[in-house]
Amino acid sequence: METIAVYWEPQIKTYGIQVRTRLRLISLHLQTGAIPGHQLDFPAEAVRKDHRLMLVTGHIQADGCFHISMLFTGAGAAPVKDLLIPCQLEPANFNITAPVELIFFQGPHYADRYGIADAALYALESKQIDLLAAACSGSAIYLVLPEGKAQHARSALNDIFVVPLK
Amino acid sequence: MTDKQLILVVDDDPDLVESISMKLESQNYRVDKAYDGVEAFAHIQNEKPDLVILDVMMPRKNGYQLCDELKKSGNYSDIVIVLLTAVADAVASTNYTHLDGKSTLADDYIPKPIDLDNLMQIVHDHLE
Amino acid sequence: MKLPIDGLKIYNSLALIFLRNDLCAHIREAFHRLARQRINVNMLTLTATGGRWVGAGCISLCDLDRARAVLPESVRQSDIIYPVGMLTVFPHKSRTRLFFQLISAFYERRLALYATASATSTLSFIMDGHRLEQAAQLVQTIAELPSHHTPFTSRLHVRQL
Repeated sequence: METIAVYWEPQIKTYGIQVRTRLRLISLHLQTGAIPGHQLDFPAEAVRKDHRLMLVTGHIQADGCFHISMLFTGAGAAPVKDLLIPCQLEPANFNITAPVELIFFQGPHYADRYGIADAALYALESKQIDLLAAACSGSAIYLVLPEGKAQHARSALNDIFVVPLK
Repeated sequence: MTDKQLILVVDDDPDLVESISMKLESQNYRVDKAYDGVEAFAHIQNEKPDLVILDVMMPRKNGYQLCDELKKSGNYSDIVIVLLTAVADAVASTNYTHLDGKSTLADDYIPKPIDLDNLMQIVHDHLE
Repeated sequence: MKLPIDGLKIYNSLALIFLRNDLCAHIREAFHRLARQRINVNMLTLTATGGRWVGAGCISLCDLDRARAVLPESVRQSDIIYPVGMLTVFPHKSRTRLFFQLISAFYERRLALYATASATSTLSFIMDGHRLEQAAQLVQTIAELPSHHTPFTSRLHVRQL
């Protein structure tokens, strides 16, 4: 891989910080040996109408299960069963938290630069804001927060990152 | 066919391409996307855009090369080109300097990190 | 019918560190130490439950020895796997179908999937490094790439001081 620039900035710049509220966080615990792909797709109509996928993140766990967190819009929209019945999941294998909030941002070359996740987590910790889930991937950072915390988190991130003025 | 103006967004960062594209679409522009200079040129040959938002540092063919090629061509020299680059005060060393950027025939030149609202204003001003 | 995508990238030579049910404060400290060592976390997924975090973080393989020295004691040898690679498709356009079709295809072909995360456009998967090419071929049976798509491996790198 060709290195084409060496980056330095005293304060990490962003393209802007965005907030979404009234979201639904669905956690799935799947046996990795038998993931029935055709059963796992949520109903297209429900997704189109009310439930836009904002984030998906997941990892394999020590017990061999794959844990997936999916964040959707429409916390107050269609009943949860409309989303999950087609998946044929046992109740023990999923969990829903709603409403939750999301704060996300991106910046130049984040994927190649150290310290960005650390700075984001530090910002939240400094204001004692709990985190429900997080994903740092590509040039974006997504932080899922309990209800009512996103604006507080925005203020904390504004102290650490450079955000373009509106 | 549509009356909407076509803007080609070219950057090797798919997340930035998506953010810019969503913003442009919300402003009623049509958007085409490419992720390096070679792919961008193929898209331009397929359908000539009104404006190209062009990153500088890209694999295969960089933004300066594509800009030069377009502006010196007979068919594409009238396409408005807005160059984007991370070559700002944040970069300690690079193969792509500000001077290189300013010496291109691009119609505008914006250092990253871009402000999307500012970029929209620049696009609007050029296409008005 | 294949789902349209614009591109696919594969990156190799990564190591994946699993974070198993550790105190948030310990993991925060670990990230801080990695940052002080100038070690980039290329991809991170975290879930919090009751003051503890589980998840996984990816670093460059060349940084692994330095990372080991600063990771919390709770991270055991078996919690680090390498070499792994990252396969990224874009744009995901919020398509749950794309995500589920890909992960089910990986499992049907026994391509181990260790972690996944989406971003604004990209959907990334951490897998065994030596099977990335196979995974890329598999993606093309599900997703349609444009004829002039950017190559899977070409990438420029920016280094942070």
